[in-house]
Amino acid sequence: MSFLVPLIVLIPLAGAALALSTAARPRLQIVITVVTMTCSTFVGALILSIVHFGNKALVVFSSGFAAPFGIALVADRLSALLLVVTSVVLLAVLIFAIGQGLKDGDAETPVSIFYPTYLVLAAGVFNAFVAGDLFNLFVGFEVLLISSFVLITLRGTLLRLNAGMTYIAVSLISSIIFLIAIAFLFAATGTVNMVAISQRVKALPENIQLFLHLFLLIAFAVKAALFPLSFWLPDAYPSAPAPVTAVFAGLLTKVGIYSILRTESLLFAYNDISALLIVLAIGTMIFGILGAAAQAGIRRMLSFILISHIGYMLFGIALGTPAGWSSAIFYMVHHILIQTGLFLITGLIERHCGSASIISIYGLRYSSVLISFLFFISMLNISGVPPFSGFLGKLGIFLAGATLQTSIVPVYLVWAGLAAGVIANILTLYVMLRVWLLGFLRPKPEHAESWQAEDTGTQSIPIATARHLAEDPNLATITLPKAQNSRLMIFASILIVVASVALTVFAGFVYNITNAAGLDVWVPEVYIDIIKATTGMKNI
Amino acid sequence: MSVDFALAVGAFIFIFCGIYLILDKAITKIILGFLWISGGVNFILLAAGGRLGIAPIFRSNARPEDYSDPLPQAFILTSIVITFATAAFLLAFLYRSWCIAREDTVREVADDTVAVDVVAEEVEDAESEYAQIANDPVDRGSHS
Repeated sequence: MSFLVPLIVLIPLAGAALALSTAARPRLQIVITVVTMTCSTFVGALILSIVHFGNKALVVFSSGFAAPFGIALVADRLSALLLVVTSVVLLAVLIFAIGQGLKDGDAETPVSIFYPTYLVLAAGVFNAFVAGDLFNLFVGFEVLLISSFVLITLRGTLLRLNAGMTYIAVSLISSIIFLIAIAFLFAATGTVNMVAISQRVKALPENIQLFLHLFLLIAFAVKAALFPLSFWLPDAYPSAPAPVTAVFAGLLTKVGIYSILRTESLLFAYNDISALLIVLAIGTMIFGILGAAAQAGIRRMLSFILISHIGYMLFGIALGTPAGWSSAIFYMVHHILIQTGLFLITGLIERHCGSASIISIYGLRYSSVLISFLFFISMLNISGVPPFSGFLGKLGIFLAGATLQTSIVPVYLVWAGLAAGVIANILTLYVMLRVWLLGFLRPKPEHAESWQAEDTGTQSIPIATARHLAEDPNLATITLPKAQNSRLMIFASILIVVASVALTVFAGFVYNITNAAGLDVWVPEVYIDIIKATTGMKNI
Repeated sequence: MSVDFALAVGAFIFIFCGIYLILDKAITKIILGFLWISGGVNFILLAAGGRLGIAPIFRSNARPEDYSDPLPQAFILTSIVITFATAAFLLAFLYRSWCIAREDTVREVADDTVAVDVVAEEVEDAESEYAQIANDPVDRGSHS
C-alpha cells in the first residue's frame, strides 16, 4: 500500500493542473478542486489507518532506487496524523472560500488563480510532511511558499502588496538559510537522506554538530515564527483574504514546527540544545501574548496569539521525552483546528459588522446568535478552559514538564517554562474575554451608526479604497464592505468548530496515536527499525 | 574534505553583495539581492560536492572515486529552477506595485509603535463606556 504516499502529493498537483486548464469554467473548476481535496482527505485517512493499526511506516523510494540513491518518502504515524488533520482543514477552508466566492461573485477569490494555487499549496504541505529527505523537505517548503506568495498578494491591492513584501523577503531569506544548511550538512555527511544523516552526524566533532544544528534551527525558527524571529507574522497574515489567512494560520507555521520536531528527534537526536529551546519557548509564549494584549484588530490579535501558542509546542518538543513529544503533537493538531476556526469566525464577523476591531464592533451576541455561539466555544477552547482540547493539550505538556526526570536541562528552567505557560494561558483568556465583552456583550454605543448587515450583493473593494486603507497606519480601524455570510461559509465554520470539539470528545483515541507517535520518534533507532521492518533493508 | 578557494571567495562576495542589496527599501534592489544570494548559495552547494572529477557518466576504465559527485549539481539545478520561478513572481510583484502606487519601495505595514497608544486609548474608552452602560440596566440590549 506504499503507493499511497506519493499519491497524496500527486493528487493535489494533478488537480491543480486540471483546475488551471478549466479556468474558463468557474463551476467546473470548483467541482474539480473539491473532488481533489476530498480524495486527498480519504488517502490521508487511509494512510493513517494503515500506519496506525498496522504499526508500521509506509516508505517509498523514487524510481525504486534504495537509499541513499532514491529520494525517500516516509509516512510514519506523525506524518500520517498531520496529513489527515491538514487535509480536513484544507477542505473546510476550501468550502468557506467557495461560499465567499459564490456570494461575492468572485470578488475576494478572483479569476482562475485561487483554486489551482490553493491545491499547489496543499501539495507543498503534504510533500513537506512525507519528505524523508532533507532536500525534498526544502522543495516541499518552496512549493508551499511560492503558492503562499501568490495567495497572500491575491488581487494585488496596495495593502496586500505592502504586507506581502515583508513576508516574501523574510521567507526567501529563511529558505536560503535552509539551503545553505543543507549544503553544509551534505559537505559534512555526504548525504541528504534524513535517516542516513542522523547516523553519520554522530561521528562529527561536537562543535560542528552544534553549528549545523543551530543553522538548521534558525531556518525552521523563521518559518515556525519562534521568538525573536516571529516579527513578520502579525504584519503579513492579517491583510490577506479571510480563508487565506485561516489556512496560513492553521498550517504554515506548523510545517515549521514539524521540521523542528524532526530535527530534534531524528537529525540531531544526540546533540542536545533543550535548554536553549526552552528559553525560546518561554520568549515565544510571553512576548506573543503581550503583543496580542495590545491589539484591537481581532485578526492581528489572533496572529499574536498564534505566535504565543507556538511556544507550547516548542516547550513540549524541548523536553525531549516521548510524553513531551506526544503532547506537542496533540497540541499541534488542536492548534491547527482552533486557529483556522477562529480566523474563519473572524471572517464571518468582518462581513457581518464591516469591521473586525473590538473598538467598532458591538452587540454581536444580540444580532447573530450563531456567530456568538461558534466564537464562544472556540474562545473557551483556545483559552484552555476544561474540558476542551486546548486544556487537554496544555495539561499533557504541563504534566510532561512536571514529571521530567533529566539532568540535561536545569529543573528551574523547566518550571520557568511551566510558569510562562500558565501566564500565557491566563493572558489568552483575558485577551479573548475582552473581545467577548466589547464585541459581543456590549450594547450599541450612543454615537455609533447602525450597522445591521444588509446584503450589498456583488461588491468589490475598488482600488481607490484599498489605497486609502494602505495609508491608514493602523489595520485595526479598517472598515470593509458589509455582506451577508452565505450558508456555505457558516457551514465551513461550523465544520471546523465541530472538528475541534470532536478532538475533545475523541481525545483518548488521538492521544493513543500521538503517544505511539511520540514513542516512534523517541530515539532515531526506533524510527530506523520501523523503516527497516517495512522496506526489508539491511543497512541505510 | 578540501574546499576550492575560488568557490569560497566567490560565495562570500555574492552573498555579501546580496545581503547589502536586500537590506534596501527598493523592491528592485531586494530582487537583485535575492538573485546575488542565490548565486552565492549555488557556489556553496558546488563546493559541498568536494573534489572535482570527471563527468559522472559511466566509463569502463574509471574507478568510482574518479567521478565528480553528481548530487550537488542536481541540487544546484533544482535551486536555479526555484530561483527562476521566484524571480519571475517577484518581477510580476514589482510591476503590480509600480502600476498601483508608482513607487518602488517597501512601506511600513501597520506600524505598531504608532498604533499601540491609539489602540490602547480607544479600547479604554470603549471599555469605560461599556462599564457605564452595563451599570444602567434599562438600556441593556434595547438597541436590537
